[in-house]
Amino acid sequence: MMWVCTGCSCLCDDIEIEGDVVRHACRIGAGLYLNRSVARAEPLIDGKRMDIDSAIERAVEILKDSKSVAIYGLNNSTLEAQKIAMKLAKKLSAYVDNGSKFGKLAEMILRKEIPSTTLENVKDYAYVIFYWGCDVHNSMPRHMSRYTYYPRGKKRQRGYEEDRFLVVVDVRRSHTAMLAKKNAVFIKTDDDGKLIREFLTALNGGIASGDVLRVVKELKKSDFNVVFGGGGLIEGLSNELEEFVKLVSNVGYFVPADYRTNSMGFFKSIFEAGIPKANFEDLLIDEKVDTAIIVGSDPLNSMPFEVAKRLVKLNLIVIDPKVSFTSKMADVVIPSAISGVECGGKMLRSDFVEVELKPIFKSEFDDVKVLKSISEGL
Amino acid sequence: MPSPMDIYKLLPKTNCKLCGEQTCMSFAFKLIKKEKKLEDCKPLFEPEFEEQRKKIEEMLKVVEKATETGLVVNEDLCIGCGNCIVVCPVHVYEDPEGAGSGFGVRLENPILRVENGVVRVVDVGLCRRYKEKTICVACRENCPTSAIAFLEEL
Amino acid sequence: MLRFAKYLKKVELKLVTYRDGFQVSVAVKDKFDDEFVEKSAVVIIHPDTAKTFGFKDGQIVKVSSYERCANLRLKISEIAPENGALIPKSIYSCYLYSDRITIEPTDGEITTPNELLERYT
Repeated sequence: MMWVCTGCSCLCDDIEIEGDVVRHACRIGAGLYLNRSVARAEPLIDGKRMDIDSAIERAVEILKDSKSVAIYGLNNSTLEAQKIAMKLAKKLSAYVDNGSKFGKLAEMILRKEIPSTTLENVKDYAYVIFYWGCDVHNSMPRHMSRYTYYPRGKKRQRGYEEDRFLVVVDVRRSHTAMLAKKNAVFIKTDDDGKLIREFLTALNGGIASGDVLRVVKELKKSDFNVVFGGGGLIEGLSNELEEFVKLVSNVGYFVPADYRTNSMGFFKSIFEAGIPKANFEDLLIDEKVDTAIIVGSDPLNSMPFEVAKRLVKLNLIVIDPKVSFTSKMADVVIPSAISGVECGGKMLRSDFVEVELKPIFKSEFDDVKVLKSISEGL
Repeated sequence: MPSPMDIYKLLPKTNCKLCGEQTCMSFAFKLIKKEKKLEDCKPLFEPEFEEQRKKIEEMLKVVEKATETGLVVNEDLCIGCGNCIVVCPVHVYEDPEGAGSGFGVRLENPILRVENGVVRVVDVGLCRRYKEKTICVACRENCPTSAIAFLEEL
Repeated sequence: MLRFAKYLKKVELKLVTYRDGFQVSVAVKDKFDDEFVEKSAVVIIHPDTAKTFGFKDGQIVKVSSYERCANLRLKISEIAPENGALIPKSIYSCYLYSDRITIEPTDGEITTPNELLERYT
């Protein structure tokens, strides 16, 4: 049976499943499938086991009594579920956030203000491939072997050692950086802005360090080069976004390396719904919300303590297929399905390409049904 | 993976030459390369070395797992990225539309395949090291977590 | 004398967090399993840093930031920045989140996620 893996935003569609053998998926994806029945969430109200309808009813009651709601997560939900979440957000005048910092760049891609491309095009045509502030070997394990540096493509038939040039930029020698060997360079930097300016200077014929000059020389050999930017880059770009965009238009294309499975789907969903992306952490610090609906996310496993401490004080409604740190703290827990494993729908890959999921199992409840029931209850 | 030094420390260290080697150190090297057998060290089978012998046997279990080409896979260190599958020159040649193009390998009996999230040796018969005795290290070179090793490099 | 040696080992480092694929795969499975602790309650330092301050691979260390602290297992690897400490992204890195952390040897046991959760309420 063929499966589309929802372990990360690579959404690999070449996975074979035969009983309990998963072929070609990485450790994260195979684990998602094989351990699907471990640590499943149960419907809970104040920690007590309930039936799912009562849990949904209680969630509706809480929402009716709330002054200001935030919906957080949705990265593991399908486009269909995200669409319903947007309707729910409008009904509740709720804030919406997925916790990813790629919002600004994603919106620029959707508005065509920064050139982007697909992973298939990268495979077929790209020569210089930048991994800037992302350790994809860990966060999206098959990114390089499936889509970018290693595979042979139409115009790149001679393999990675001759037909590609790899540039890894990071504050440390990550596993991805260790792959920068022949025809490749690893640039270590603590200051992304400074490096971006150095590249711009070198591209205009100015003076720069040896590594930068070498990369610029390689860039000129091809008209198809690509920058994959990760969380490290986005965090480093406090005031240099404009310069980064200028660099990308000089280099070729930008593709986000946001590992969150349907993060780009989320950005497209809010873009189409006309809802601005909120910053949930700021909302918590400023005490702007009293209730949060957390969908398929575990902020206690990703938010700084000082912020998360404020989160647990809110009315918390958690919709998740699995038990999580946040679900342990929730007022209401509503179990859901693992997208792609137990329920179908569509998601966007990290390059905004739409992928149809191929669930192996069926579930009675999924994000779509739960969010719909809540919305109808209101 | 044990180093020759790890093994040497547990040997009798008498350089008795009964195994045919000049020193215990060179015996340790050949043991790891599977050119010598533990039984070749007669003194080690005396009761006084029993504990040490057992330790060496434990260490050699990894070496035993090594294939005819000297390829050793440590699944615990593998993240299942598939770099090794895609860079393998034999896979590229035999399966250009599959592994050569980045997809899961489509050969029925490939050299390596990712199963349940980790790389597994399926059939070393196709490996260049086996057929052509070429020293090819493409798979090992592109594994940053050291899940793949070759005996002769240890 | 012993206390003095311990004092010398206390070191302040810049905190860098990262997404560790092995950690993610166990987090996806079950966050309340021992494997989660094994892969998450970890602080990695560069071999040069370890040598300078005399830390050993596998020892348990007390990691502190501001008034918060947790006991993690120390690992030595080149993937850590030379002047920093690397912690896989999880509730542990979130709990200790700050720009700088201090690391010192301890006889204590590794902190569990449930112990951390108690501190959130």
